[in-house]
Formats: sequence, C-alpha cells, structure tokens
Amino acid sequence: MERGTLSPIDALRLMQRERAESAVADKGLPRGEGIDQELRVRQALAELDELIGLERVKATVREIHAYMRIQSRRRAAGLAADALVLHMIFRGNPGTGKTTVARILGRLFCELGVLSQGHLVEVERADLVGEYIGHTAQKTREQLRRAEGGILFIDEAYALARGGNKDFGKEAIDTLVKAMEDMKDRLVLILAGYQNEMGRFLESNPGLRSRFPIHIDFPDFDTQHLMAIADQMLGKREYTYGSGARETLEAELERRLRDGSRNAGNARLVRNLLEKAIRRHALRLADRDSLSRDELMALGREDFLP
Amino acid sequence: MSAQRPLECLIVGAPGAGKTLLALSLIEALGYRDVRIYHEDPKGKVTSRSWPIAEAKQALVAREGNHGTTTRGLQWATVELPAGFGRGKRSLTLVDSAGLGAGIENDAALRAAEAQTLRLLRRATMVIHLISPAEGGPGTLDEVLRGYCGDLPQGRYLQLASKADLSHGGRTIGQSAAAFRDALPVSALRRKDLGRVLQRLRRSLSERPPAV
Repeated sequence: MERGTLSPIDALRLMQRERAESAVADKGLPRGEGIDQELRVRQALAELDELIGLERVKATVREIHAYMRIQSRRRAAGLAADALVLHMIFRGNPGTGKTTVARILGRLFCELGVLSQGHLVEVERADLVGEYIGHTAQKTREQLRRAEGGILFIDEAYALARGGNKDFGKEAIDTLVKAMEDMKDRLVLILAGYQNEMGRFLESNPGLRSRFPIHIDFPDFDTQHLMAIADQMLGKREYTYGSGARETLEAELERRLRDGSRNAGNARLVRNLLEKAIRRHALRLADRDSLSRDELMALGREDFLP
Repeated sequence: MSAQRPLECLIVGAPGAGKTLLALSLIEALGYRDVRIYHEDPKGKVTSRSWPIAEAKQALVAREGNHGTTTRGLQWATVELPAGFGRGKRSLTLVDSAGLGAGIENDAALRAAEAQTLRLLRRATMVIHLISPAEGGPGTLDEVLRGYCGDLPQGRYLQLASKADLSHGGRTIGQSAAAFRDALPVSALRRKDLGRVLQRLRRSLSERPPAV
C-alpha cells in the first residue's frame, strides 16, 4: 500500500480476509491487544527525543528498545531469546542528564512490561553503607526492596569502593551483586558517576563490570547545546531575553567552559545562571509601580553579567 | 502498569470527515482548555506539544480547500473521562488518524500515513468511524470499514455521521444509506451531540472489556 499499488479499500479487504482465515485457524483474535500501550511507549521515547543533545544516549536507548521488541517477537515465534539483562553503567559529569534519562527509561521499561512500576529510587553511598557489621546488608536490602519493580539508581557509585576491602562498601557491593541475580526480572540497577572514577571502580571490580551489559556515556554539553537548554528553560518559565541578554549569557557560558571546571558543561550550571538572572530581574523591577507584560518577561543584559 | 487498563479509541474515516475537529471538540467538552497532543509522523518520529485547544483547532483542523492541515500521521491525547456517578475517572486516549482515501493516493507521505492508520486499526479495541457527508454519502470505503470493524464487541464500534449541522435535505447524508441508518448524527459545533458521544464512550467503559 505504501508503494502505491493498493488502495486503502483493497488493503482493508485484505486485512479482513486475513483475519477471517486466522480466526478459522485458531479461533483466536488477532485483534485486541490494544494500541494504548504502544502509544505510551512512543510517548516515553518522544520525551527522550525532546531532551537537547544526548544523541549517542538516544541512539543507545533506541537500540535497547529495538532489541527488547525483537526478543519478545522471537519468543513469540518459539525461537531462543536471551533473558533481558538491563543493568547499566552511566558515566558522565553531574548535570549531563543521567538521572533524567534513568527516569524516562523507567517509564519506558514499565510501558514495555519489563518492570511492573518503573519508578526511580535514587541513592548514594550513605543510603547503602551502614556503621556496624550487618548494618550495611540490611540498609542495602531496604533500598533494593523500595526499588523493586523499578530502577535503583546509585549516584557516585564508585564511592562504594572507597576505603578498600575492610570498608563496609564492599558488603554493599556484594549484596547488590546477589540481588542483581535474584531480582533480575524485577529490578534494573544503574550505577552512575564521573567518567574516570567509574572507570577505575569497574577495573578494580572485574566481576561487577561483566554484570552490566549496557554502558552509556554522557558527554558534557557544548555552548550551543547549553544555549538550547537555556532557551527551553526560559520558554517553560515564560521569560524572554531582553536586548543583548542572550549574548551575555552565551559569553558567560563560554568563559566557564574555557576555564574547564568540572561543572561547566552541564545543565545545572545553566539553571543556576538563569535563576540568578531571574532573581536580579525581580530585584531590579521590584520598586517600579507600573510594569508592562514585556517588562515582566524580559531578562536584561545586566541580569546575566557575572 | 496501571491496574486498570486505560480506554483507547481510534477515530477513523475518509479525509475531511472532521476527525481532528471531533477529537479536539470532545476533549473541550470534557472541560479541558489546554491539551498535550502527541504527534507521530509516518516515519515513526514522535513529538509533543501542549497548547490551548482553541489554538490547536485553528492549526490542525482541515478547512475547505485547505489541504495544508490534512492530518498526516497520528495524533493522540490522553484525557480523564468521568466513568459515571461514584465511579471516579478513567483515562481515555483519543487517537486521531490520517484519513483513508477512496483510491490510491499520489502523495507517498499520505500513503504512508494511511498505512499507519490501518496498522493501528488492526489492533484497536475501540473505534469511532466518522462518516463524511461529502459527495453523496458513505462510499465504498465506509462500507469496507464497517465490515472490518463489525466484529468489535457491542459498544466498541461507534458510527457517527459528521457535520450534522449542515443541512442535507433534512437528514444527514450518513443516514441516507440503509447500512448506516444507525449512525449517530453529530456536529462538533453542538455541545449536546458531543455530550451524546461522551455518553456512549462512558457506557462502553462500564461494559466488560473484550476478552483478550
């Protein structure tokens, strides 16, 4: 039909015949699995697409999605299908989208029927590691229980290896590894952290590395992406740039990127700069009696100066 | 996954039958002023946008001689539908599809959009079939659609004759053909018609969902 050899009418007739035949064959209904679930999957993917940048991340998520669909169709066709192991490593600086992507993945896996809830439980070392013998396993199991049916997201996971073999962090890792096997149908574990630290962490725990089939790198954003993020954030909050304001923000972001601080290439920096500008804008206008709609919206050049 | 499966409803019909206007008007009749609309082009790219319904109508509804706004692809929105007295609400996803032409479409993109509509129709559990009053009543396409949807459980296939506000010799053209005598005449411009459609949707909510 897409090739232009079949009209919708003929296609419908064909579909009807096809269905009548399969209904005779197995009395089954080939219809009825519904379209809502499929649409929700697409909504989750659309949310991902609307994030700025992150092209590699988006491509990887689409690969995972395609893989999951094909595995389930292989299963339906009676072919050997791999068990889905979806534990992941996220590497990147803070503010590069790791948590945001994890949250969307939770929804996607839930809509695909892989996870029953798809919620995200975000923890760090202090939530897992206890203070006395036996305390750690108990704390870690408690977090695993909370995350059951969803995603357990461990931020700065490399900190679990801090303090060497005598540290209770080791006990947390062992408990997690056991849970990854026992709960593999009910839980997705994501370990996140800075690129270098995560690299060292996995090198020192080779057994751990092999248990995470999916590795995703979150690169820093460049100025162009940061500006697109800023535009999106301003739009959502119903602010605009006054004359010269956008250029000033861009110059400031470039300066920070050149300085090369760890937090330079991230969305949180943009958020902070915008919030500072919004507060300055408010202060600047607070004593004015009459304000137009435009004035209430437009952030000035001076609001963005360092 | 939610305990209760959300209701979904696919709106199909010939191009220009008024599917988009009907979908937006139903959402409006439920008391919504703004709506997040998801759009999927035939290549599978999904985008979304929140906007006031009045604005969406301006931008998305096809008008006479204006093919720039022919729906190309799928559009859908999820809204809350009150399930009836004391029974709370259920979410309803209204899916607006690209119209199905009578012949083979020249434009490849529109052909792809038609194929997309049929792929969804194959799996839909509830269908609103909008019959256009244009050119002398329901055509072969409407007949074939009716045949295809005929095996949907009671209440899950709804025939509507659109543009009932336009006068066609006293009755809507949808009713002029015997096979479509039961089609409910509706005008997206009349609140009471929309109320009637919502009533039907609500009723199908309370019925047992089809066995899957």
